Amino acid sequence: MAYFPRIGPFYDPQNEQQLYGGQDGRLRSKGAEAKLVNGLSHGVDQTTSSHSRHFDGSWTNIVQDGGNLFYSEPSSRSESAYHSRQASYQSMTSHHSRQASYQSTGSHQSSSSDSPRQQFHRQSSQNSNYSNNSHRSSSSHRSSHGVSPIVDSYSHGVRQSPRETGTRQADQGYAYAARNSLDHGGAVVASNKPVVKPASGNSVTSNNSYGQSGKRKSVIMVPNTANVSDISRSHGVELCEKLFGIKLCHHKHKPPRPNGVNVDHSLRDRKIIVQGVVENTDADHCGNINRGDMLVGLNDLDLTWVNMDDMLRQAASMPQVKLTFQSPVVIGPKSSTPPPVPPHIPLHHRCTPPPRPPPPGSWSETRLDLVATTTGESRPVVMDSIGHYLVAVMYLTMAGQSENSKVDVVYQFPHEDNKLVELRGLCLTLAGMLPDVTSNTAKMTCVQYRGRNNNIVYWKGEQDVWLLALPEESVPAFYVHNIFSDLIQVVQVLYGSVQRAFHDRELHSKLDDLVTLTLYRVLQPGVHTQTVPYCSPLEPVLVDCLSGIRWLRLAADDKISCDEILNEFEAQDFCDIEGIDQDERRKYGVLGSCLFYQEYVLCSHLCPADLKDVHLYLKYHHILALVARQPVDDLVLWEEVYPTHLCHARGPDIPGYREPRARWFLLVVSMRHFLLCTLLEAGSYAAPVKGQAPMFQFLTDQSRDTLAQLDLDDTDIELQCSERLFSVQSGPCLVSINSEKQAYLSGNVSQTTATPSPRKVSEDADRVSISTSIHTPNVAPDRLSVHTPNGAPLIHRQGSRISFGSNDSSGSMHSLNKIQVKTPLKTASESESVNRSFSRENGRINCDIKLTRGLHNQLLHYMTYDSFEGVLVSPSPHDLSAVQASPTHKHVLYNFYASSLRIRETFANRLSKTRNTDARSEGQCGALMEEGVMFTCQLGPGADTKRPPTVGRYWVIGRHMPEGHEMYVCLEDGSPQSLLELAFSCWFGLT
Amino acid sequence: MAAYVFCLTTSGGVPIFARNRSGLKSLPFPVIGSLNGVHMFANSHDVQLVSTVTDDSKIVWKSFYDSVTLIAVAEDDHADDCHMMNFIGYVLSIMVLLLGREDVKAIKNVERFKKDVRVCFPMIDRLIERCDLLTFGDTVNAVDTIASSENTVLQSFLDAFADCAASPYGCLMVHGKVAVATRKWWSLTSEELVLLSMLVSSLTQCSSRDIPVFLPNLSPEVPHRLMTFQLTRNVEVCVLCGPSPGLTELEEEVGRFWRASYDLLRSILLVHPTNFSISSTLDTSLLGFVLVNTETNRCLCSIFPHGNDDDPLEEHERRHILRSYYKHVVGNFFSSKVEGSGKGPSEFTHVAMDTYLTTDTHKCYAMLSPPHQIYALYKPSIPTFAMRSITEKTLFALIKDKGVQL
Repeated sequence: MAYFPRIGPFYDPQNEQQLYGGQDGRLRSKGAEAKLVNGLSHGVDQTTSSHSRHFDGSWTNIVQDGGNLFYSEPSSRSESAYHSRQASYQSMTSHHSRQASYQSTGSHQSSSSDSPRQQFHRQSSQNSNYSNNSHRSSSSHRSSHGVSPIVDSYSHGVRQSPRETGTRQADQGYAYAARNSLDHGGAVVASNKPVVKPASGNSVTSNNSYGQSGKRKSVIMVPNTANVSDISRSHGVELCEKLFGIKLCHHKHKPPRPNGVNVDHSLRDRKIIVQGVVENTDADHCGNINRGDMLVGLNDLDLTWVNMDDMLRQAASMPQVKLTFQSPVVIGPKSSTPPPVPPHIPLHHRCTPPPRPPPPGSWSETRLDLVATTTGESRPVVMDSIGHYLVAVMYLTMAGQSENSKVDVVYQFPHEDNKLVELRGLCLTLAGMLPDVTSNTAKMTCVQYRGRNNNIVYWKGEQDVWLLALPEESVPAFYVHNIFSDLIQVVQVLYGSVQRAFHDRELHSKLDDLVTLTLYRVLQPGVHTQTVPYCSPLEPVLVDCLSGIRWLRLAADDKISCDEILNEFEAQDFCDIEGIDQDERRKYGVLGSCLFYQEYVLCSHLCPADLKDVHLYLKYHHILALVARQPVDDLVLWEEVYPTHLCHARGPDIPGYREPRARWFLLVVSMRHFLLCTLLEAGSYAAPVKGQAPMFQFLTDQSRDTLAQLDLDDTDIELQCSERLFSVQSGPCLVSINSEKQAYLSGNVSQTTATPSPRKVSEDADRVSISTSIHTPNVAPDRLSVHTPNGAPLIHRQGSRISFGSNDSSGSMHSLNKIQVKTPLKTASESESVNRSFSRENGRINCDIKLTRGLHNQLLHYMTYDSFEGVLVSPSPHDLSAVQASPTHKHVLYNFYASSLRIRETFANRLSKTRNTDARSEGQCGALMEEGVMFTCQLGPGADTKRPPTVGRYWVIGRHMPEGHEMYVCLEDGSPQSLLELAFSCWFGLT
Repeated sequence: MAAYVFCLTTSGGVPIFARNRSGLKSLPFPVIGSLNGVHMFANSHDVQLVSTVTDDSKIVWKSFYDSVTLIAVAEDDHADDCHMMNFIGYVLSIMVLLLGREDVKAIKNVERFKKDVRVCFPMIDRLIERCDLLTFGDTVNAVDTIASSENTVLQSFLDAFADCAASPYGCLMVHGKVAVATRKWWSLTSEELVLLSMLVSSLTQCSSRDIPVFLPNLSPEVPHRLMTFQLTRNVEVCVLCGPSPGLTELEEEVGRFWRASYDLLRSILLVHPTNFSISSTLDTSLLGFVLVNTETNRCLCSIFPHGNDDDPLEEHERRHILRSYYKHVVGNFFSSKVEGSGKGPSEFTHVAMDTYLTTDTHKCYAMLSPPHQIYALYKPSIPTFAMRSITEKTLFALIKDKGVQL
């Protein structure tokens, strides 16, 4: 079983009373200590921080008055010019949040101490006061306490809004706070660049404080060498805990993997993350080191896992050590609509994004971030690259049409007019008229402009038409349909309906992003966006058209680990949950979550329809490509979604059960190449949310911690993933067309006399896999032109799937995983064939077959797709890029993808046709279909120029299984039929 | 197949004719007008409106000679656009064949042209209803032939009759399919061959006729006389002549030349639904085939290779499957005589030679063996791997046979 570090204990029953009130049942809170009073004399209230229990200070009372709770404090404290409510982030060591520096101070009130200042909100209270929150630029809190930890806070310009200095009407203040907090709904910002803004006090042009980067903070500490017995022998993590009282996420050094994956490399990139602080140590007292912070420096030197041991040992002998931490950035989403006042105020400020005034022009700023961040290029560059093509996305309305004006254009991209925009009247007319002619609405129009074809696809609403026009030479017609239907789904999932998305002008900038990224992705497949070069320009197109999700199949143990990590997260049974109010603990119900590594799904606890929604959302916002390209740590997305199967394509109600009326939210948190996507529900068993829902900060933090668990110790998932992706493995071994066919049998090839049934062969293949791989290590690899440097035939599987609904089905999981642990199909099964498939000469009977390793290899390329189980490509593009495939083979691959695309189109058309014609027999719409094409090519003249050039023949065969499973195989002509069947039944072994 | 064909003048959008498949309601003019309007609108923006697809239909537009615009609406069979363009080309060629290119190019009097164009309706209707035809010529762009062992003997009869008519162009048609033709007749272009066969079979049966025709490729402006004489039911002999001889003169000669061939004609009529008679037998799984020779512009099609069998697939289903399979393959993987069909295959860097498709009701196999192409339809019970060798055997059995002239 996997090892799961316990994160805690944070719940302290002894101190519960301190927090949850006295005998009178009233809530009590503790005032801040003088030691935390900073130079700017901001009073800091540790309102509900569990940390506050460590201080012995005066208790302030919460006064209950008419259903509202007020917070009063001693008059001595009210003398300070600012009454601030500390967001308690700094002191929340026990709460393992890794939130950015949300230090929001209360409004500076000059009123008397008994003014209502802090409201402790219950769900029912509506007419409440709420103290305004603002960001406070906190500079150098200096504490006079004990060993005097010095805190340098490098937080970026936090200023108070002018409104805060204005009228102190609590209701207004609340409304403002609420609005600001809502302004974070729905935007994506991810950045590593710190943007330092000048602190300008009460300036009018105040801006959000925490925006762009993780806050760096330094703490000067005195190493407590008394605890350490043997410095030279202690481990870094251990040392850190003993010297400073900082518990780090434990990471065990692993022995180097036999396959040579660079462990050091992964170590170097791994963050050192604070797991917690030991109570009553300097670190605890200073209150500035939080769970989730990254320890990045020691005495201004970079600290990594590699040098940690040495540096900490040195530090032990120093009188004073400066530790630098970085807290991760959380960027809240933004919303465009002015939100209605939510029904209740969150009790804990840190559960909501800090309010920030909406600065003018902030839209363009966020937009720029989305496009620039995900593509890695600036927006003009992206727009420029799209601008080379004649493309258009238009949303037109038939209402209020008039000549020579553009009132019919609701939305248009690109914003400059082009030829296609001029033609919009044509499309409107066709969309409106064709039902009269053909009783269907228009689907696609092909127009020719300057000798180039352009395909325009339609979506038609009652009064409106949405058009997407793409050049045919870059995007084949079939692909356009796919893109468009996906795009429609993304828009529906994000905005509820297409009409709403386009008619709401506020959403246009978000649509711009979506459209820009979509066009950027489809017009340049595999050019900039992929880390792995595709072996053929059409491969991404085909993979895209298959609309499957690519799974990365982990070994059973790792898979279980992932599942359990997600399970724990989904259960919302967090050990530090006592830190927050009961009503806030499970504010949302978790419908499920899924975990992506780069572009691949590792495990998913979402239902397939939801997973598809999430996948499309990530794909069309270029986020998958982003995490595939580079590690991303600071990405947090929060969107309200309208899941397809709940909102758009509701199935028939199951008797006795109805889907709840609720609202759904999607939370995406990234860590390195991982993405954790959680689908949340508000309204069924969770509290209903009205208006714009703020990001649930607590869950965000938990997501981060969940992701951090992946990176620990025994569950080193990332290493496993990269191993899966990039190391040499066996799958169906494939050859290049040029490989000279020469029949000689290697020593261990045993001829069997019977031709087994395909299914049986695949099972046999699995069973014999290990022994054969031992027997035939790199046998005579020189026949194969796909070589590893050491000559071993290179193959591997790239994506596959396992999806198990929940951990409850672990029994079946084991049984399913039984055959595929780490050795997926190392088959070298030989059998005698009845006859060669499609062979013109029938005479040859006794031919040996090998699906994989060996000499007489005839399987060239392989691809499988299942609507549920995802896509598998073998050999992976990475394999092919690692070796220099011959030009002929490149052509073969190109043709493979091109013809697979057309075969796929045939399947799709036939399926839709049968579905249309006999709707009554719905069950059997997916019949078994197979289509094959044989290509001939001239192989190189070879050494002997006198001989006529040999002609190579190869088949591309696609098969559609009734269950919606599709496979595409490329094999040499004359391959035995049983090889083909083996290839098609490979799928059984791979799942 | 094609459900509507509209013809309008390009300049003014005046409707010339509108034909639709029987059983469909004809469309009101405003709809036709707006269909034409979008095409004109695109033209005014320097953009060519090519085609539009709906869930089950396809619409194509094309202008010819800057004079007429043809719009065709058909059921969408997911084939390449080139097949619809081929269809539209045939509609135009029919007009040229019967009216002459001059008249079509420059319509002087629209009202008069509207009346003149009515002579084309039988042929256009036949083209629209072509899925009911037993011939495939218009789809594959090669003339249908009927192959029997009597063909060599009949050839001499025909040559003698053509000599008598002082014409090098002579042909004997059985059920609208060419049994034998003179060498010069075979030198006509594929389009002309198909059109002449279609013309003869679209007209009501009569003992003899004399029709002026403009050959769309060889002499689009000077008419020739096409004279046909019915020898027996469904068997006609055709000659293309200049001003002489007259119809009555030649009609008197018919009996003299052809009386001796009566038994041969009877026996060739028996070949009709099968379309071929060869010595060797074909595989029993074969349900139908289309064999095309792209050099000689001939094709041989059969949907009853074994006479009438009791396969579940109906006759019209077989025709439909073969037709749609041909359209699926050509323009997608193969190129052929159909104009524009090379565009799709040219996207591959290697040449596709064989292809097949299997479904739960039938299997199809297509093979290129230049200059021949064969598209075969099989029962679903045939093993997939056997289709290649069986198709190849069928191909060689057919083209090697003496009775089959392809």
